[in-house]
Amino acid sequence: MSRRFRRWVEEYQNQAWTLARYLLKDPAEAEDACQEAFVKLWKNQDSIDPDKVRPWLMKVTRNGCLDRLRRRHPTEELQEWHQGDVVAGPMQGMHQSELGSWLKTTINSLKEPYRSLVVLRDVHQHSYEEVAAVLELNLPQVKTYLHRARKQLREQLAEVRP
Amino acid sequence: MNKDDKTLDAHFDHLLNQLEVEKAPASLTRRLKRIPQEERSDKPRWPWLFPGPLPKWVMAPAFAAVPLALLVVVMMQPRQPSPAEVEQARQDLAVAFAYLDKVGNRTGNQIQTVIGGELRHSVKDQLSEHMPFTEQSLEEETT
Repeated sequence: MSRRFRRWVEEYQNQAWTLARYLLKDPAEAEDACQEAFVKLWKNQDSIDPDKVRPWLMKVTRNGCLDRLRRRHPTEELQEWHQGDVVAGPMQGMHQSELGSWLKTTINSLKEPYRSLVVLRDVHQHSYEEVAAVLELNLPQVKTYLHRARKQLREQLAEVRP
Repeated sequence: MNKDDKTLDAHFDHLLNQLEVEKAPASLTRRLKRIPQEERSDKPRWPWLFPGPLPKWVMAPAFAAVPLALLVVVMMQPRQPSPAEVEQARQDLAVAFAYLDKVGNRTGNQIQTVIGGELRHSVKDQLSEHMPFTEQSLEEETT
C-alpha cells in the first residue's frame, strides 16, 4: 500500500505542484495544498480507481486551491484576484525567455476555469477527457472554454510580441 | 487568416509548448513521503473492532449517556419537602397517634375489666369463706 502511494507521489507530485503554483502563486501555500491533496489520496486510496488517480488528484488539488483562494479573499470574487497580475500595456522588444515568463504570468491572470484548463491541457498535456473529469465539465465545454482561453492569451500576445 | 496571424499562431503554439511541468521542491517531496507514517500513527488502536473509519453511531451511546447520568444524579439528590407536605404529614401523624391512643385506652379498659373481674371474684370467694364481712365491704366498695 505504501509502495503504491510512493509511486503516485513520484509520478504526480510535479503536476500537482505546478497546478497549485499556477493557482495560488505562493509557494508555501502551494506546498500545503499539495500535501492536503496527497493526504486525501492516502485516505481514499482503496476507493479510487487506480486508472483514475491522476484526474482525481488534480481535481482535489484544484478544489483545495480554490478553497484557499476563497478564504484568502472572503469578500471578493475570484476574478478580482485573477486580475492582479494582468500585464499592463504593450511590452515591445521582449526576448523569447521573457515571453515565456510573460505567458505564465498571463495564464495566472485568466479567470477560472480558463486558467485550470490551460494548465491541465497545455502544461500537463492531459487528455480532454481527463480535463473534463477534473473540472466536472463535458467535452464540448472543455473545448469551447479552452478555445476562449487560448484566444485571450493569443490576443494579449499580439500586443506584446516584438 | 493573413500571414501575421499565422506567424502569431505559430509563435503562440511554440510558447505554449515550452510551458513545462515544474519540478516539485525537495521539501514537498519529503512531506509527501512522510504521509504514510504520519497517517498510520493516527489510525485506531483496535482495528479489528472497527476496521476503517469509526462509524458515527459508535458515539451515539456516549452522547446519550451524558443526559442519562445527569438525570440519575438529580434523582439521587435528597429532596426537601415543601411546607404543605410537612403540614400534611404532621396532620397524618396526629391522626395516627390519636387512633393509637384510642385503641390503647379501649384495650386497657378491656384488660382491666377482664383481669379485675377475675381477680375480684377469686379474692372475694377466698375471703368470704373465712371472713363473712368482706362481702359487705366489697358491696360498699363497688357502690
